Amino acid sequence: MPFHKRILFVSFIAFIAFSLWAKENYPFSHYPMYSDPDPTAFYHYLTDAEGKPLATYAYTGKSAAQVGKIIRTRSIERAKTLGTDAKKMPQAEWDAVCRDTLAYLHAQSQSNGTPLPVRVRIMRTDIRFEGDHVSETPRVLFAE
Amino acid sequence: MKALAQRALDALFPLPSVSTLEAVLTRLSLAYALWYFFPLQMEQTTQPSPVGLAHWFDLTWLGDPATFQAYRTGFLVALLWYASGVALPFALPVVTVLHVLPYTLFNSQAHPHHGYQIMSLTLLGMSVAVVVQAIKKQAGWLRPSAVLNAWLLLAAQLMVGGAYLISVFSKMILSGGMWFFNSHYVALDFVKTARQNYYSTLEPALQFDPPGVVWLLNHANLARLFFGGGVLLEAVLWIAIGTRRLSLLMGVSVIVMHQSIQALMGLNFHTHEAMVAVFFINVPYWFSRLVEKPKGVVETS
Repeated sequence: MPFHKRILFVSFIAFIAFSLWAKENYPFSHYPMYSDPDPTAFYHYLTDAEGKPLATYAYTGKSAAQVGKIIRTRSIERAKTLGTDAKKMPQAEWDAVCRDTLAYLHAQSQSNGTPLPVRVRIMRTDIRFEGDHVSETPRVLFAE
Repeated sequence: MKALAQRALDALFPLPSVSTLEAVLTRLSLAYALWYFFPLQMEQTTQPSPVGLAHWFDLTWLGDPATFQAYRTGFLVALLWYASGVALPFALPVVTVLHVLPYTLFNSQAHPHHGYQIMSLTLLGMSVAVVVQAIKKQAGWLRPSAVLNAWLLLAAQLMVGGAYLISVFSKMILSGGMWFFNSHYVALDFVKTARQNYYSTLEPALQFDPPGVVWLLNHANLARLFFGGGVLLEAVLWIAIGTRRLSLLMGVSVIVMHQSIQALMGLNFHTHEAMVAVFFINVPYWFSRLVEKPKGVVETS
């Protein structure tokens, strides 16, 4: 095999292996989006204390997808420090993650000049496929 | 069988002939794309979940508006330097670092975005290629050599094709090998994305049930064929590295895939499409073909 092909093969394999190992470390990524499809999905959004939805982007400059990613990333980081899996974290730890996330979002909204209401809820809606239809079940994940 | 495998290996990764005109058009296209997508401002003044270089360096200075405007000007100057083709062994690493830093800060907010890695990685791959060629004294300082132009194209294709293949590996690893079997459930993500879009702005026009979700879930095999086809395309894109006609075919297919996803899920992949258009569809090459005859492969040591 010509020398340039050997170099390319080795570089290609090394790049892929390193990216899978490095995971999310810009500019490297393992591109985990839509990697584990299953019969359930969920999304997050914000409401005020009465349950009225808040436009997350208008207040914080963050989309609802980004709010969900923040909660996910912070829960994984917290679980790592506790030596456990995020799905197995006690409720108190989830509350701490949500409290920190809301503190961050409050700060962002104030910095943008569009402060969030004093008391905000994080909602989580579970999406399920149930035979002939798709159901959506919202619940309060955390309330200030 | 062994002979067939050998022939397949021999056909992989040909070193393409890249004319001066194609190289100039490629540099102009890439520089324009990098500038077009570069952020107008940075709103991030903290890095609560550092990634990459932010593990070691505080990049929050980029969040200062005046500083970032000066940074943008510096980036534009670096792009013009790169586009000129002069001293690429210095120009490309400078452009790469300047491109990586703001997006590192952007991705250090605990909500990683996956739109810009493909551009930074392309620059990184090209930087490695140009430095290696400079060490081998094959780069050309005032004007890039034919060998360097060929390696820059290969390096860019390798990074773009590699990025798509990494996502395929992640799908297989994170789903425990069940991705293709479960792929029809990706349809549920149409609902998720639509709701996320709505709750970001509360615009009434975004409050709708995405069409076709229940149909896809009830026709699992057709849905698997549809979603699986896209992943197979991502898995084999790298085979086109160094080719012209095959890379054109695959590049167009990838853009059709991205446009289909955009139509169904409202997710755009403009940076990916730009990189695929420049380096796989090879728009600069086909433009250069209008005025030049193609040449053979590049001889290299």
